Amino acid sequence: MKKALGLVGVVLGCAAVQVWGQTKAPKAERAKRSGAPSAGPATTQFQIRNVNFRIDESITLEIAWLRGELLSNEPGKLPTFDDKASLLMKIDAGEVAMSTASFTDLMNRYVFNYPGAPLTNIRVSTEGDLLRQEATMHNTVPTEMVGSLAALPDGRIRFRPNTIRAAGVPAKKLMDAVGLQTSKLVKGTDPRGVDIVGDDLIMDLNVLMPPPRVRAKVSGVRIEGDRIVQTFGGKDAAAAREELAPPDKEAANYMYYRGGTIRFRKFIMEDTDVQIVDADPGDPLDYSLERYFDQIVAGQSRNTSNGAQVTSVPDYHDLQRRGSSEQPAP
Amino acid sequence: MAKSPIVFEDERLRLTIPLADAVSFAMGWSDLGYRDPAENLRQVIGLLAIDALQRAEQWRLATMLQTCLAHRWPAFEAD
Repeated sequence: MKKALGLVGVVLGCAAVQVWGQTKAPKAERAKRSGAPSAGPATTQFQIRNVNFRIDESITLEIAWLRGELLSNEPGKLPTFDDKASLLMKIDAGEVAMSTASFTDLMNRYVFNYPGAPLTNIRVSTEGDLLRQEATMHNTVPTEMVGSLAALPDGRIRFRPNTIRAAGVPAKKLMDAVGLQTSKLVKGTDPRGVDIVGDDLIMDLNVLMPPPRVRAKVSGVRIEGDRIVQTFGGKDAAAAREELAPPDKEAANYMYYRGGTIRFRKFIMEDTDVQIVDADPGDPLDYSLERYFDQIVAGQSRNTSNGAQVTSVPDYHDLQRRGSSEQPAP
Repeated sequence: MAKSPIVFEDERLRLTIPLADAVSFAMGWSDLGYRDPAENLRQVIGLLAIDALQRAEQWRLATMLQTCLAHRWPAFEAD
């Protein structure tokens, strides 16, 4: 009897070790053992290269490269490509530029677009490595500021004017002499991502960007031609650049989403593994977040043996051109 | 209605507001709480600001303000 009980104990003990081993083995290893494709990360990671990412018809982020995580902005909902407000892009590293035309639109249509805004008719341009901002203050006084951009340690961007003209008059020296600061003149009721501290304009991308929401810390900012180039990530940024291995490794311009669950139109993709590549790699992929599905419909998709999907899409501007040439003559 | 920026004292007029407020008002950058203030009110405040600076012997600053005001009203130009 004692012997029999001992045998049962040994058998149960072995079974417990077996179950424990299965539970503790990494998910990817278990998948490998079972012959299934390895599972991606629990949340959706993204890696983007050479993409002009149109947030709307006139604001474009020129993404040289970007690494981060695509999260849901609404608890309990999946990140859904058809609903910009549902998306939260947590940026870990990368380099993104914005033309002054896009930045002008961002300021006029989002940041200072509310009743009683202190600045209106904003026009942003560059002057060498400086930024020039022209605007109408309190709907009456034309102002012009020229200054430099810098990234602050907290990840915000500082615009510090070297010269200020107000109502056509060089004002900076006089303002400094009498202790008058821009923050006293430009009083806003709804900052929306721009704080005025002394003469500085402090911009927070996490607040001032329209949907999709962004969570990012700017680590560097510079002017290149008529573009404002922002970099993200610290000294480990370069390592993050090629962290994910997309199915089409030859593609130069692409967006790759891996892991987690995302939704687009009627599709819900679990353990996401989708790469959107440029059908015309001669220039950056022109991608419209608002019209992305038109691009997918006009493109071609294929599935790889491990379940990944690679979709080759035309540039958005080519699609627009095609659309307008197909319009019947009036 | 905003507090008057000017005080009458015997036969002299004096500023009763901070110089920074007077300068921004005279330059047309702020309105001191007035609705659509007249241009001649801005000019008077500008003159009083220059006068206050000169009385305080802030000659350089007075000249700077005078030059700036002359951009708005050429009559402010120094002889």
